[in-house]
Amino acid sequence: MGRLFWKFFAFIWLAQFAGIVAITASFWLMQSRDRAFAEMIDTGPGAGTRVGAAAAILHYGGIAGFREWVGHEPGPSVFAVDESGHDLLGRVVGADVLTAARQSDGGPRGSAPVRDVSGPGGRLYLLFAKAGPPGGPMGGPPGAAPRPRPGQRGIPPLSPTIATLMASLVTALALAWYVAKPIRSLRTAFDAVAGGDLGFRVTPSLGGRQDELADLGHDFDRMADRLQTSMNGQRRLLHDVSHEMRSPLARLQAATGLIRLKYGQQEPAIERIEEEIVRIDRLVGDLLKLSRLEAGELAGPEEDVDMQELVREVLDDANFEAQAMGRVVTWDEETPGTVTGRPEMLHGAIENVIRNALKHAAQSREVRVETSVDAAGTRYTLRVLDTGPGVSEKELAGLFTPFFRAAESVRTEGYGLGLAIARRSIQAHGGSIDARNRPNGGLMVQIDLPLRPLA
Amino acid sequence: MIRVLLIDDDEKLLALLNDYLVEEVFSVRVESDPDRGVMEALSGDYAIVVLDVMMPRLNGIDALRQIRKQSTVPILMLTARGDDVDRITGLELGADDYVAKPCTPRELVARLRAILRRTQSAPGADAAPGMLVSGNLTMWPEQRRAEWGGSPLSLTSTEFSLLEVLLRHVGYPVSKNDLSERALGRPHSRHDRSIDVHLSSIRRKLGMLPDGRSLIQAVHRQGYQLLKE
Repeated sequence: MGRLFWKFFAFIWLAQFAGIVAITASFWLMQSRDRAFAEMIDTGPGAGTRVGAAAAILHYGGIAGFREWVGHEPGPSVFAVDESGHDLLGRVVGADVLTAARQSDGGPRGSAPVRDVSGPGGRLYLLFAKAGPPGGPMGGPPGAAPRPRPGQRGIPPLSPTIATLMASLVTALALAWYVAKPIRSLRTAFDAVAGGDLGFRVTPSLGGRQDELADLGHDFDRMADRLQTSMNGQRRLLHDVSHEMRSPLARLQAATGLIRLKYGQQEPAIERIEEEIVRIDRLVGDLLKLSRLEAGELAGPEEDVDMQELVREVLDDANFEAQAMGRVVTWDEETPGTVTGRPEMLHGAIENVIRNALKHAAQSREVRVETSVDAAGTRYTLRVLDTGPGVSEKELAGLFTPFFRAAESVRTEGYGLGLAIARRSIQAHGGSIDARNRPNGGLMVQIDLPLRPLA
Repeated sequence: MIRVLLIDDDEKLLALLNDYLVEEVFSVRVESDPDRGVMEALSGDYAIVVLDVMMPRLNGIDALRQIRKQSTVPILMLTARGDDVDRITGLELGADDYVAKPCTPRELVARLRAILRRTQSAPGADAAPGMLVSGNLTMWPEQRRAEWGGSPLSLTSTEFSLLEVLLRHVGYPVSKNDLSERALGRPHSRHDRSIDVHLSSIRRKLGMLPDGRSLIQAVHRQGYQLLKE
């Protein structure tokens, strides 16, 4: 599961959890206010009736009647408080009790445990029964006021909390997975396409899903289709053009051969034509090789390639060429290693890299080759280092594309296909190639190849 | 006069090559239609066939396959440079050698002569007359004939030349370069698989040794060796 999944999961779960906590807390707060009210004001079943009776007596019997009724009445006493907070009979009423009574909304008419009544002289009294202490001296029934049940007080009970947590966990997981999964398949697809596999499609992994994410997947597939078509077209064009150029070249070569045979043997112009034909032919050959490589068509069987021997062969050839340019290719430490692959392709790839280094190492006399095997014995690394002008950082990535020529580079011989072919050849062997500027100037090209696993 | 059959779909090129080869005293027949080319090749009138394997209509590779089904006439194929797939397929199907097209006519003639030298004339000064024998294998170089355990072997001319070189040095390894020089008439170039491809076709045509090993063994870094029975 990716990071997106966990982020989604965490956010959704947190949101659900926070919601549940908020709702629980507000319920709990409301409940506890009711409880506080019930502790001070008698809201029991008989309270409403008694307050009603008291109201009638106060209304018709006046203060005397009320006092007499209160004196004879058992149970929690009914208070009548005027607007200034004084009880009609002069009893002491706690400020908190009074506040609670005043805040009460009164409840249903006719049976409300707290109500306003107009007494003698038209004054308004607030009538309510004060909750007696449980089993107190008043001797009222202990159940008159609802008593908090055990467990209701304090934090909410444990088992519903865990159940809620689990439920929110499961839904958060499901939701996060539902969103993150298609994004993951999209990412895999982008990776595949970026890596050159234009045949990868997302739709099969989406199932019958129908939403914006599925649409994104379908759009991706359409894009990949278009890309694939145009890439294939380009590749075919490259292939066809190189093939088509062969025929006129072959005729040209046959014609110059015929001229040579019939007329002049040593005509320099004819020699020039022949040289140029060879040059075009080599370019066409490289194009064809590249298009074959890009189409994944590889020639010949794989075999065990002794890298030490192969690099030595390449260097022998390269040094032969380098001498003519007054340069030298050095290799201080030979490293043995066996790679499974096609020696001709590997030879060509390394040769192209070294040849490129020789060509561009304008100021330096020396091109250095370093080889090594990593500690685990799984990778063979070959570095080609020159002390030339290097390549600007933003152009480094383009170095391995066909016909690349760095902006600053002096005009040099070459077609700009060598490194592109090298990259394709190395990639076909499961390896990688990249270029970096050296800190003290010059370019370093590094080739990594997987070594044959030791059986 | 050596009769050469050229099969290529490029008629203009054929005309030029025709002129060139006639100057070089070959007798040339050019054929731009692959089907007729195959029929001509099978007529037995030609010492050697030059076949372009990149022809678009009838695939040149198919033409090669059709000729090889019935004939061991020497075939020099023209392949595209950089196109290793066609080249190796062609060699596996029994082409005697290849020239990357476009090539100079001089190169083409040199290659033709190299193959013909093996098939036309008797072996050079080092060759002993008569037959060569090793175990089940018997060869009559002067008649270009070979037998394995009494039954005739159908070898292309390059295969015959290679086997002959190995048989003359039976029990010793022969380097790829020597094999290439003697059988193909050109030096061995690095990573060129031609010799390996030809030898693996010969292996398939020969029987096995009693212990199940192949008669022709690759000797690491040294080349190939015909085992002495």
